[in-house]
Amino acid sequence: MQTLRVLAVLFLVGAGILAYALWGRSGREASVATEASAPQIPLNMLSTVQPVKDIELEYHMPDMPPGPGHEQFVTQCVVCHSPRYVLNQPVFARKTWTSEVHKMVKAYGAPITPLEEKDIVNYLVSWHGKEDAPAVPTENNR
Amino acid sequence: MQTDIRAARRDLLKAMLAFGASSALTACSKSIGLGTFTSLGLSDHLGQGPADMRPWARYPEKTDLIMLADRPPLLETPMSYFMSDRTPNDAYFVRWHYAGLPTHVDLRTFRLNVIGAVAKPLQLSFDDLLTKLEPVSATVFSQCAGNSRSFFKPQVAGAEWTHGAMGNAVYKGVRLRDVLKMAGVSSKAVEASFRGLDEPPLQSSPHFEKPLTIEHAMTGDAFIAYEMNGAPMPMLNGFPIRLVVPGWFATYWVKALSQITLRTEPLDNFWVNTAYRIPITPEHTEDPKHPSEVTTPLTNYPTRSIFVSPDGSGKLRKDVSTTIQGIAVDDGSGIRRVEVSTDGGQTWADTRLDAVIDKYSWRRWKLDWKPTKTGTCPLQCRATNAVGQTQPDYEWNHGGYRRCVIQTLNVEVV
Repeated sequence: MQTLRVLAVLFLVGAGILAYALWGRSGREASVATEASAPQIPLNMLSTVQPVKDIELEYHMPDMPPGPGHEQFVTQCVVCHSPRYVLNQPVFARKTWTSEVHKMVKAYGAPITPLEEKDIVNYLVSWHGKEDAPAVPTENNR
Repeated sequence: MQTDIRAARRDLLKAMLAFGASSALTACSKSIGLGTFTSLGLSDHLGQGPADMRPWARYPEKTDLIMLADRPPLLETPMSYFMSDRTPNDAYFVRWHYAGLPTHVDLRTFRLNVIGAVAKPLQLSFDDLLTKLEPVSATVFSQCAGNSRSFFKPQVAGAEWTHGAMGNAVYKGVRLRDVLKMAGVSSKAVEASFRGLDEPPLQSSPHFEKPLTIEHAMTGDAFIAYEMNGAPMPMLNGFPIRLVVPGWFATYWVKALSQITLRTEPLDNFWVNTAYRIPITPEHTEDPKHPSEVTTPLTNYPTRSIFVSPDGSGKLRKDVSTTIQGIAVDDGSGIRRVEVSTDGGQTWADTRLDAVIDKYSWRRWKLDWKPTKTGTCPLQCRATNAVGQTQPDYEWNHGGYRRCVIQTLNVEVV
């Protein structure tokens, strides 16, 4: 009796998992099938049948923390690229952020004044950076 | 498009629920940006993949990919796609320098301009390329110069890719040299340089443009591809045509190629003189505390092997045989040997190499392995090519480029 009850429970759990897996799979397969079923135009007919390719890029802009320098960051940095170019970086020391921000001025011609550069570096260090390590290495403390 | 993204998010939410426990456990130090972000109590609007904490997103003509950045998009291919030898177009990695990437192309007006030191400047249409020149086709591996950058210690600035800024695909197109011959290259030309439809965000930003020497352009294997895996290229991978430079880093594979300039003086710009440069030292490695003063542009691929399965996300079982497999690449000389160590580099076992796919394709390797003890086991792989080039034990460079150090993959055996 006990064994039967255990078996029944196991069966129900198993059926549940299987049903969930199948449900998930059918959804995925359906979406793949829709994409694959789009007729493919032979390359030599592309410029007459479907000459225009158009895509619309949806951006996934994250929220940025408020604080001193936020405005300069949005005005001077986000105008060219997403804040994710900060978010996807390691938590750098001030020295690295200083040279990264300066690179935007020197290499990419961003019209950022030295004062704004300072504000932007302070802002980046405040939430995605750290102060420079002291001259004596403290690596083994970390 | 809208519904696609919503559906993708729904799927990801489902995946998150299903994998909730495991992703919480694997949320390790690799989750650089987002980890900090959420710890600040701020919101990110995207779901996350089960394997790590990085967000996923679905872009036009692409499937769900790991999103390093949204504008301009940096999208990484998940490792599971490297189990097959052709990386699907919709899963192929994406990397643009500027947000002004092309989003609208009309083949009726699109032209490839060949200008500069030529007898006859050309304005070739898409159909000209299809009909006026002999087609060529090849399976070619491409890899971002910064692929695997996130593994450099100390970490360096740049796109923090893991190993997915790469792919293997069949391209069809026309030889670069055939196009150049059609234009009649001047004997004074020293370089051919390549521009695409992407535009810099500011007047003062340097237009992305990369050169090849005239010898490379006229005698090498470079070609201009109009087809990728039997289909037109996705916009984000360079529709309608892109340069393919077999055996060379993808920074040379200019997307949406629209202008070739034959130059009598070498191109002098930020992308040549400052970016994409590596130290001129043995193994191109340098001391993080004293970076090398002398650098050179990076060019062709070093010999390299990468684990594809296992990928470190799951667990292996003691006394149960498993197949370790991965890919190996070089500059086209040919991979001849891949060895694997399961004991931290003390002993190495030869793996089985799959047949050669194509000269510049990756080559797959496999090894059956039965773990005999539990705990963390460091797996290492090491490739050697036909001219004896193998992989170093250590490397570091300030750009985080050209990673080819022997990979160590820690797997959990239970």
